[in-house]
Amino acid sequence: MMTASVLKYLQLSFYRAYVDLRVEASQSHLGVIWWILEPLVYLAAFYVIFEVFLQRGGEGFVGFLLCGLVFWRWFDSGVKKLSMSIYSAAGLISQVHVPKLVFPLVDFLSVTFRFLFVFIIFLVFAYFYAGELKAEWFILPLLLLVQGVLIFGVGGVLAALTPLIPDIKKVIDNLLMVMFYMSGIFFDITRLSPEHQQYLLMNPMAVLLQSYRAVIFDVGSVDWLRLMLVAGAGVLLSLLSLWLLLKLDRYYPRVLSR
Amino acid sequence: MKDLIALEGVGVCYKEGAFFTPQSTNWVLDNVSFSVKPGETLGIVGRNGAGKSTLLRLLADIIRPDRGVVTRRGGVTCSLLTLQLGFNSFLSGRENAINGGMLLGASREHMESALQEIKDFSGLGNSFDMPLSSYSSGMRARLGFSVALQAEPEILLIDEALGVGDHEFRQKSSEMMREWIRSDKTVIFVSHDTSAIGSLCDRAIWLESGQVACEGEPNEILAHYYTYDKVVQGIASDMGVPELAVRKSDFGRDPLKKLNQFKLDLRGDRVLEEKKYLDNASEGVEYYVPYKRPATSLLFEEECGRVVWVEGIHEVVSGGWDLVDRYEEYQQLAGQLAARLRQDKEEFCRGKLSRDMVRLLSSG
Repeated sequence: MMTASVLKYLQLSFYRAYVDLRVEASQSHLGVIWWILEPLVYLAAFYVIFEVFLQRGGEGFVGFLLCGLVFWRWFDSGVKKLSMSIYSAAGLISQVHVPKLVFPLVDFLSVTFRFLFVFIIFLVFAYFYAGELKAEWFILPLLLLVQGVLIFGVGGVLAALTPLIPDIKKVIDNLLMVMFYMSGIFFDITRLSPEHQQYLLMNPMAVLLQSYRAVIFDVGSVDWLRLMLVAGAGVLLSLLSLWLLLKLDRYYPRVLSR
Repeated sequence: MKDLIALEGVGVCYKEGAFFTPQSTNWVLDNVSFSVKPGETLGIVGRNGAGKSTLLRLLADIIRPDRGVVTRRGGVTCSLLTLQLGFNSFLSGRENAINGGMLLGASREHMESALQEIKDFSGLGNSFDMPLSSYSSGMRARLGFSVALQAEPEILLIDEALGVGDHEFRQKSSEMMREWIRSDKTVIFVSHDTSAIGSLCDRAIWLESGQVACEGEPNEILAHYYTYDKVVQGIASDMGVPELAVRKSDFGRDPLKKLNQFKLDLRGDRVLEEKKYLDNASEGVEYYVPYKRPATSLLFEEECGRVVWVEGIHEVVSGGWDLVDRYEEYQQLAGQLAARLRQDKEEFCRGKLSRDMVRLLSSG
């Protein structure tokens, strides 16, 4: 009985994620092409500023930058979308009982699928860029898993809290912007003084981006201890969001229907 | 037969103010108890804000009560009829059907296997694979309804007021709803059109200010409901306060009891012949309300020597004791006219002509 309904809601989540992607693709003329275009636009802007104007990029800057942008986009769009997942489903929530966990899960699946699409294209690019297929790449799934858990944890907790504290919506965009500049997307954190590095590496995305670059482009090394801390934080946050969503399951319709 | 669902002393309260600093509590439902048996159609009447939608959400298990217990027979599903649940105009009818059905709790396999049936029932034909944006209101209503049918809840909750969309859509869906109510499914029906409740339901509940004022045979309940409405209207206009103020005051605390205190007269329009009965009435405000006859009622407020005359469900006149003579005059005339028009007298009293007559007579 229990497993049957879990299975049913998993099915529902996957179908809704599919629907979400379908709708997005049919809502714009270029459809899926936007997914690739977006990081490329960022890439062009940063490339022009840092490499051409400031001449600060250095060797392999395009790969470095693109790597940062691709994985950051996953985190950024994931957290933004997940944080609003329950809030924006207010209409549905007041008409039918669906376990609230479904909504962040749907958004996580659709954002992640979109990312994987871009990720594969990025890998092809990285292969030609680096000129070889490295054995280290087998670590990538592990890194993706850590980042996935992190996104679900952060986004899930925010999803659970936004309907109760609407002010969170205003905070999220600004916080993500600050985080964007602090994650070492367009600069190399290891070039900073050890003291400054310490502070910046408290940011889980900085740790993850460093690990991705180490694995894909052989820049620096993977900091396993910090990576484990990030994974631990992700798991804890995911559990917290699970607990909140189950506990407040029948409370959301009350706050959202007003 | 065992109850499908039973509510016992159920209360729902909403907290006003911010999440961390709730300022006041507002009991939207308070001490509500009733049960639903398999196959019956239960109607719920109540004015806006009486707690009808909260009650439906509670039954559909969307929210849980703050007080009391809701008992469901094992595995009984109870869902709100929503005709466009999760519908998206960029998706095809087929995709919307799967999505909507799964939201209502059906499995993917069930919906896939039901697709042909939905397609046939909705009569969409080739449009089934076209995006919803190309559908007419009627097509949307038919699709929505076929999907809701396929999810097969044991108890269907229908809130006719929830009908969204344009006029045509509402009309179409309303027709289909009524069709379904007439079948032997278990239905809980909320409507602003109370005559629909009278004709479609086996039993009715009158919800007043979050409490069950009374439950029973629909026409009887509707009679109470209307009478109370008129009484409240009368009092409100006499005192020069809004109706809501009367409902929320001490007077509105126990509506049925109040109506009972009005000394229900089971002999209908013979009220006036029983003047002795009036003379013996105890002190305080007394109303006489012919039972089971919402069409012709006469209310007396003895203490003040005032009379409230309620005729049909539309007309209410108040005035001095001489109104009683007008009333008698009206009864005679109405009887004669009804006979000449070959109408039932009760039916005549509800009509427009009767309304004009009451106005004419009461103004002298």
